[in-house]
Amino acid sequence: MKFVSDLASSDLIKQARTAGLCWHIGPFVVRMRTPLRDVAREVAFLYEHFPLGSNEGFIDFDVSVRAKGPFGRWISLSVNGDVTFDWFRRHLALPLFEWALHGCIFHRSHQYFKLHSAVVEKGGQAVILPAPPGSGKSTLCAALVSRGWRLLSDEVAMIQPADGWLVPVPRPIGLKEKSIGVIRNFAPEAKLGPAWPGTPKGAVAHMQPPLESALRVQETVKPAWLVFPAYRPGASAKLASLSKARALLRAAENSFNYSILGRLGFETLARLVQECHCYEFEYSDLNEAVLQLEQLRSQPQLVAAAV
Amino acid sequence: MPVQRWAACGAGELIWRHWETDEWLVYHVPSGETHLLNDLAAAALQVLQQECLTLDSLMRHLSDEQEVAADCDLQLRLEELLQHFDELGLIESVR
Repeated sequence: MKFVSDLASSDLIKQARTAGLCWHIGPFVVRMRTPLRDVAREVAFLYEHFPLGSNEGFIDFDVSVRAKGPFGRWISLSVNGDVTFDWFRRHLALPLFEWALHGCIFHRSHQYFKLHSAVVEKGGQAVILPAPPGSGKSTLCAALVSRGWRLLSDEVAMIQPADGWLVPVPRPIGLKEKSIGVIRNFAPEAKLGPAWPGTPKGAVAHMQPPLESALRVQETVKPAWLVFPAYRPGASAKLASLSKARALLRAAENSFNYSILGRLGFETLARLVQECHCYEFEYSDLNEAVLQLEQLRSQPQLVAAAV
Repeated sequence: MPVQRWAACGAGELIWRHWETDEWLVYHVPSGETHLLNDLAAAALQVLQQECLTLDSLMRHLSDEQEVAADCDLQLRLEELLQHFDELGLIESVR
């Protein structure tokens, strides 16, 4: 198997400019076509541990990034032929590329039940951290990953309705504004790309998924904890049990396709809360937060009962 | 004057889950809505799934089952519940 990192820089740029650079992200195949060398290099850095794909096979998300306007100062980004972002400043190409992939994964592929959440795993058990945008879940996810938890995703829990297991779809962890400095201090060894100022969400940077997370991308995992995180300045790390009924409703609010899947969505979520310990989680200090979540691992696993 | 009777959706249209005391979830298939009910509301809806009842009959049935007094308070609570269930499309009036 060959990886993005196996390509020489000149080959990488040529491939992106011509047939397109293909790689696998979990169950998906992405192709990026761009004549912009800097964009090709930046994307390749973030995805260097991912296996290369083939232009001959089916491509789930075909992303094109092109410069436009006087002196090429602007870009246009399209997915599968549809313009997704147009007339954005050129320096925003990488954040826009990532957001375009978010949209692809969140709003398509409804063979999975999906929650807007981070998902990490250790010891064969996964914790799902559903939370709305701006709640700090990506920062918490980056902290956990830098302390040995495997990254399944910082943005979406993809659950197989047939058995309730989680499908990894690891991608660069998006950090915003102050979180960038927080993670640089918390995990100096983490590989972060440059910070891109001036996005609609402020300055954005991306943490490269660790090698292990990329290599183990085929390993599905059983969920064990459903934890709703909330960053509150000054708060001590505290887990509070949440009833399964309320956890289901909270999770449904954070789902991309609960209503689309109808009864299957309800039954998938019901199974999830049945099989997980459910909590609300308040924290401010990342070290405390990581320690508190680590202690969950000493809990006995819940046995799935007939529902 | 015909007495108003109430009936809930058929068995296949309401999907139930229950884990802890006093919290029942019911998924209404036709609307796609999910509702959180307490013990009394869940019991009332489940009884109405089994048979078509008047308010008085429902009150007597639940008074026995839930071991609560069949008084004005219970009647008022059930009237509000029936109105709410009707608005949500979970039950319908049968004359």
